[in-house]
Parts: sequence; structure tokens; C-alpha cells
Amino acid sequence: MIAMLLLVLAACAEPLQSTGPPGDAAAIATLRAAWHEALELDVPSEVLAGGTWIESASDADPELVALFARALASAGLAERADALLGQKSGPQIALARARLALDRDELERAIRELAPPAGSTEPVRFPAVPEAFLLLGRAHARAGDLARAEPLLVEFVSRAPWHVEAPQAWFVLVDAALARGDSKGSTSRERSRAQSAEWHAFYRARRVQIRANPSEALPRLGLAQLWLSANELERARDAVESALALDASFCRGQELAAEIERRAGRVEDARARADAALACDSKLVEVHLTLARLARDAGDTTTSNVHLARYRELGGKKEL
Amino acid sequence: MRWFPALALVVSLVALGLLGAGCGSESPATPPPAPPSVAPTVAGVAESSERDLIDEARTRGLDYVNRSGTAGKRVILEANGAGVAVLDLGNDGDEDLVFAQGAPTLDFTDLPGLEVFENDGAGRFRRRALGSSYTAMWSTGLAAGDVDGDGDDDLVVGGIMGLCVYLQGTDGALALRNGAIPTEVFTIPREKGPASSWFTSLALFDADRDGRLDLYAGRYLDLDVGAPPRTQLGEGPLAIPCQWKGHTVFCGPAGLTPQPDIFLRGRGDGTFEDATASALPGHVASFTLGVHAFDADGDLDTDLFVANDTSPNLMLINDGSGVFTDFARAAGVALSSEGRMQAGMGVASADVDRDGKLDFAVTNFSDEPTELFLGAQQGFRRVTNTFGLLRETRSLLSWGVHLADFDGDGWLEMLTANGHVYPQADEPMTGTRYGQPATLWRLGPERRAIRVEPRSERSILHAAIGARGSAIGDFDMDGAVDVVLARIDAPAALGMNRTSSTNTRLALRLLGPTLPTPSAPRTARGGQGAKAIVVIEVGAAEHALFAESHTSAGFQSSSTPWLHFGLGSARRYEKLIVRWPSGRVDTFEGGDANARIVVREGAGVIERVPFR
Repeated sequence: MIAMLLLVLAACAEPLQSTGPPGDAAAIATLRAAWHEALELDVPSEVLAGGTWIESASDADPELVALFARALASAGLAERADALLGQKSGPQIALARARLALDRDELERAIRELAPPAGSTEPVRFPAVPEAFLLLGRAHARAGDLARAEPLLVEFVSRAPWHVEAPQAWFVLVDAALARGDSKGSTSRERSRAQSAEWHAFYRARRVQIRANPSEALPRLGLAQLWLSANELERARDAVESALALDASFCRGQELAAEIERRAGRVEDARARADAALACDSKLVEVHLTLARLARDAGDTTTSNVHLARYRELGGKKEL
Repeated sequence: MRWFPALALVVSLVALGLLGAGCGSESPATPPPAPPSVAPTVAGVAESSERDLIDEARTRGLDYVNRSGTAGKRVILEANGAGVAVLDLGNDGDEDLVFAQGAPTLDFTDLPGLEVFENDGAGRFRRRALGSSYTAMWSTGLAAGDVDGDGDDDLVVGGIMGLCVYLQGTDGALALRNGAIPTEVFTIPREKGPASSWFTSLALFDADRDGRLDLYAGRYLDLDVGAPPRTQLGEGPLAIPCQWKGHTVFCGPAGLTPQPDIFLRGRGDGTFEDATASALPGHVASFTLGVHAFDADGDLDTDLFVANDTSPNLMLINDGSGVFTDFARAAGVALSSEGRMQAGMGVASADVDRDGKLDFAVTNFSDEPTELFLGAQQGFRRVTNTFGLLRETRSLLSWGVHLADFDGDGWLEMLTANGHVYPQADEPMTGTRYGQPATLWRLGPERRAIRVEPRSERSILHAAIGARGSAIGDFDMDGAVDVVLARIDAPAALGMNRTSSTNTRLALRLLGPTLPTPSAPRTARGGQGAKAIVVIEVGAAEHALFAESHTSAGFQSSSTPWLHFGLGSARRYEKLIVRWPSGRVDTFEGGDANARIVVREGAGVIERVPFR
């Protein structure tokens, strides 16, 4: 866990250097995460600098190959991306090819890459990969066929609600509902789109802040709060632990860690974190709500009311 | 002492004697002499035989050189460049040019006036001094039109801290009209003190069809010129670095404060009143860069498309009385096809698919496409991807845009003026470049954008020099549309159209009545908003071309009010139908191609001359 945490910290701290192929599954996972982030933050040069080995590797991880190809295309080197992908096969490679085709407005080619084979009952060729639904839906939408795009994108946002491209999928879904004359559906989807877009805007900002200030705990706290708001508890935990790894005396980090542990059902850890937070800063507010909820869940109404009263006294407004 | 940004700006302007620039006051009574022309000659131009858009600026006497701050572009103000206006000075029938101008530094100590170039009728230009009064300022956007109803073109100029009206006198000189613009629009109230307006694109049009031109003025953002944000927004651990593709770049517009646009109703005498509150109810400030006035919904009144930088675009639909409501989201034109806010820059409209409805194009940032929307039964249909424009334009950062028939074959082309805002674009692996040539695509019956490659090193499609403002006109009066580019930190380009020597053409100028009709709706004297249908051929080959008279295409620029039709191989046109904003419809018999025709509402064809 600590090793993983340090890897995440390192990935957030500075651009990747070329290191050669990752040695094991954990290293591959870390590199995938870092490259995803670099592409999401529009820094393809980091991927290209960190993956100089990949074009000559015969057995590179397909997802890394796909991400490297996306970086090449984003850097204006689409022909090299074609060459790299041309030698490979598999779902991730097909998805990368479809992305390249979409970048070139070759919509029929993108559809060919991802449409199910004749006789298949699946809606896409690679149903295990949520992005396949997104990209095939996108190709149909760009070709003006919202009716075909809609079920694919519904499936995508259902399977990958926190995907970085979920707001875009929601947007097309709003248009699809409008095109069907479904104003109620479009309103509901627009709400989802707005929430998703706002969440991702904060998500992007937090990651940029972490990169700009890698030794600061505060932006990592913000990231943890975001993941907590998404009920992605392990990701929230990783983020807050990375903050505390930088600054063990970061009282608000302890406070948030207590709430994350409570939400994850790790009651003792939650109590310990809450105690640590209060010992760190007796003026913290939210920790009293966490303690009130812990006591409530344990059936201790009296203690819960005491903490809730303290919470209200300090200006807390949330419901128990 | 900690200065509030806006206060600092006000203080520095007082020190510079510029407060109340905004055109409330004049600069020295004696204008600076026109700079000596550096062009070798303005006579005896040998026309190129190369079939292209050949840059003949230097040999034709157009020696404008843009100044837009420092080459490093550390402040957003330095990145947007200047506009150019095509207008007729002296009412001699040819098209002259006025350029906006910035300054070499940001200390605002060397502010310029406008730069005026007079056409001799054959497309040769000579510098002309401004009139006896002018305002020195960092100017940006220009809009030409007859704002005082006296039958000649006037000019509205926007800039940093200023919005001015120049009226044309009988001698063809432009003179500042003091008090033309209400002073309250020069600054924007803010909690920390007023912010100075940064005007970008302007559109002169008749919003309420009273025969008087009104003005929509786009504004960009609050900028403390004395202490602009550099390298990051905010402070402390939550600061956001100003970066693009990993490179540190100037800050903005994201993270800065957008300014609301304004709508000024024309009084018909060259002065305007602020009607923003009544005309733009519920208007939300955004980073406006492009403004284009056209009849988006085909109901005869003029609507607006406002291209915004990193904020949703506006499609302001006119209720006929000059009150506008934004329908951009409903029309599907506010955002990218997937809901992303884009960096809208320039706008142009025309009938691309020859279905009698106006279509329009919007330029955007690199990694974003120039968007193309076709007029549909209801609203617009995005055809960007099916026309292949993502592939064609994603490496470009485009500003001015024009939809015109450059080769005269009857189908339109799209021209964009391009150039990145960040010099860092020349770093490896950005997928783009800082200096970019203009680009031209055919948008013909194939319904796919087909790029027109330069055939000459002298083509404006070849030289990789960034441009911002652009305008089209027919400077040598040969019937073929030419283009002028206001390149940034560089000499202007004059792309003389040599794309076709065999296709025939028709140029049409639609003018409103000399005297206003007794009751509204009326057509403005300059004919803004008038529409023409030209019927060509008979029998199976019969087809019609449709165009509307408007000038606000491009970016921060003002193009010709003449309508240019390509007739292909036809020797004549069969019929001309004009629909005036007043509601009147006139039908005229056909005639020979290759002619310039002037039609005035109520008077019919008042001039018909062959091309030069």
C-alpha cells in the first residue's frame, strides 16, 4: 500500500522520465494511470518522453500501446501512431484505431472498428470495455445518427459514470432526448451532464494543482473530497493518505480520513482518525458530524446528540 | 500600497492623459503625418498570372505592419491582433482599407491612430492621413457602415478602453465624432473599481429596421494592463499554472473575468444610445471574440451569432423589434458537438449548400475544428465532421473566416486566417505551429471540405505567418473576391484572386432608399440585410444562388457589402430577385455576366458596368 502510494505521489509530482518497459503488473498499472492523466491533462509530451521504448517493443502492454498512440496523434504524429497500431491487435488497439479515425472524420472506419460482427447479439465488438460504447456512440452521433448513438451512450455512462469523457456522453444524450421530443428526459440528462461536467472540472483543476504544487497537501485534500463526493471511497482514501504522507500533522486530512473510513464501514479506523483530528485541532467542525454519525450507527443516541450539538455550535449545517 | 488592478489602470491612464479616451476626447488637433510609404511603387503593378491568392500587398502599396506587443506574448492582450475594414472612402466606387493598430509595448506610451489606405480603383493603395481629429488607442475591431445616413461609409472602431465613431466627410476623410458613444460603456462597474472595456469584434446592422444602423459590440475580459496575471492564476497551494501542453504560457481567458457585450441603438446621425438592457435581456458576460450579424432564422430581420472564447456561443434571435433572445443551446450551436466550450473566434455566413438558407462557420482553437452549420428546417445542422473539418482544421488556430466563391464556379469556398496565440506552439510535440498560412477549402457538391493547396510561394496560402483580422473585397474590380489579412506583428497580406480566368461572375450592391420611406420597416441606406437570389441557366441546369448583404464576417473586421456570385460557365444570369428588409421584393430581368450592378430600393438598377 505504501509502495503504491509512493508511486502515485511520484506520478503526480513530476513528468515521467523514460524508464524502459515496466517490469510487473503493478508498474504497468501505475504507468497506465500516469499516461491516462497526462493525456487527460493534454500533456502528450510526457507520454512520449516516458515511452520511447514502446515503438520497438514487441510485447508491450496493449493499453500502454494504445495510450502512446493517442499521445503520438495528439502531438501531430498520427502516421507514427498508425504504424504502431498497425502491428497490434486486441480491444485496446481497436479502440485506439477508432479514436484516430474519429480524429480524421473517418466515421465509417471508426464504426467498422467497433461495430459488432454479423450475428452478434452484443451492441459493440468489445462489450467488456466501456470506452467501446462511448466511441461507437460518438461515431454514430457525429454522422448524425443519434438514434443509434443513444443506447450506446446510455450504456457507457451507466458503466463508467466517472469516466473523464462522461460529460460529453451526457451532452449527446441530452441532444438525443431533445431530438425525440423528450423534454423531461432531456432535462434530467442535462442535470446529470451539469453535475458530471462540474465534477470533472474540479477533478482536472485538483490534478493540475497537485502537479504544480506536489509537496502541498491541500490540493490532495480537495481531490479526496471529490472522490468522496463520488462515493469512490478507495480513491478518496488514497488521495487523503497521499496528503497525510506529505504532512502527517495535516489536521483537515485526518478529519476527512475519519469520514472516509466511516463511509467505508471501518468504524475503529474512523474513530481513531477522528480522535487524531481533534487532538490535532480542536476547532475542526466536520469531525463532530463524523463522530455523531459513528455514535448514531452504533446506537448511542446520547453521544451522537452531544457531537451533533457541538457540530451545530461550530456552525455545521449538514443533516445527520 | 497595494493597487487594485482596475484602479492602477485608471491611474496609469490619467498619467498618460488617456482617461476618457473612449473617444470622448480628441487627440492633438494636428494629426500625425501619414508615415511615408515604404512600398516601392503604387503604379504600374504587373498582375501575376499564377492561379492562386497571390500576396501583392507590397507591390500594391499596402505597407501596413501590425504591432501587437512583444514577440514573447506574455500577456493575452498581445495575442489577439488587429482587424481591418473594407469601405469606400470618397464614394468613388472602389474599396479602400482601414487597419486597426496595436502598440509595440504594453506601457501605452506609443499609441497609434488608424492606418488608412486609399484605393486608386485598380487595387493600388496609397496611405492617407486620418482626418483633423482622431483618438490614439490600441484599436482592435472595426465596423464600416453609413451610421449618419448621408450616403457614405463611416467607421466604428473598438479597442482597449475605447469605442469611437469616425464619420466620413465629403472629402472622403474620416473624422472623429465626439460624443457619439455614451461614456458609460467605456468602463464596467466592479467591486474593486471600474474595469476598462476591451472591445473585440463589432457588428453594424439595423436591428429594428428603422433604417438606422445599430451596433453590437463584443467585449472580452478585464485586464489590468499594468499588472497582468503571469504564469499562474491565484496564489498559494491552490494556484493554477497557466500552461498549455506542458508549456508555461500567458494567462487567460480562463480564470479571468469576462465582460458583457453591449448593444447601442443608432440615432441615425452618427450617435448611439445604450440599449443593452432592453435589447439583450438576461445577457450573461462571456469572452466575446467574434460577432456576426445575419438573418439566422430567415424571417427578414437580422440576428446575431456571437463566438465566445472558452464559453458558450450565443445565437441571438431578433424578435423583429431589436430585442434578442439567446437560442444557441436549442439550436445546437452553443458548444461543440459533445458539449465542450470552444474558443470561438471568427464567424461568417453564406448559403453553402445552395438551399436558400444561410449557413455559417465558426473558427476555433487548435485541437478544435472550425465548425460548419447548415441551415435546417428548424435551426441548424452541424456538418463539421461529415465535411471532414475536424481532420482539416484541428492543427490550426483560426481567426477570420469567409464563405465566398473565390473561383467563381458557383460553389463556395471557405477561407480562414490562422495563427497560434502561443509562440510555444513551435516547441516539439504540440501538433501545431505558431505561424500558420491562410487556408482555403472548396465546399462543393461533394459535401466534403477539399483543401486548395497553394500553387505559388507568393500565395497567402503558403506563407506561414499568423494572421488575425481578415476581410474580403474586390480591390481591383475584376469581379473576383480578394482577401486582406491583418497579420500579427507582420506586414499585411493582400491576396489578389487569380484562381480562375474562365468562370463568369456577378457583383451586386444593394442599397436602401436615399430618403427614408415614410413608415417602418425600412431598409438602411447601405442596404444591410438585403437579400438577393440570382437565377442562372434555364432548363435542367437551372439553379439559383442566394446571398445576404452583411459586412461583419471575419474577426474584428468588416468586409465588403458587395455580393459576389460565381456563375461558372454561364454567360448570363436569367433573373435577379431582391428582398429588402422593408419587406419589398423586386424582380429584375436577367443580363450579361461579368458585371457590377448597383440596385437601389425603389429606383431599380441604377448602375451596371462591366468588370475591369
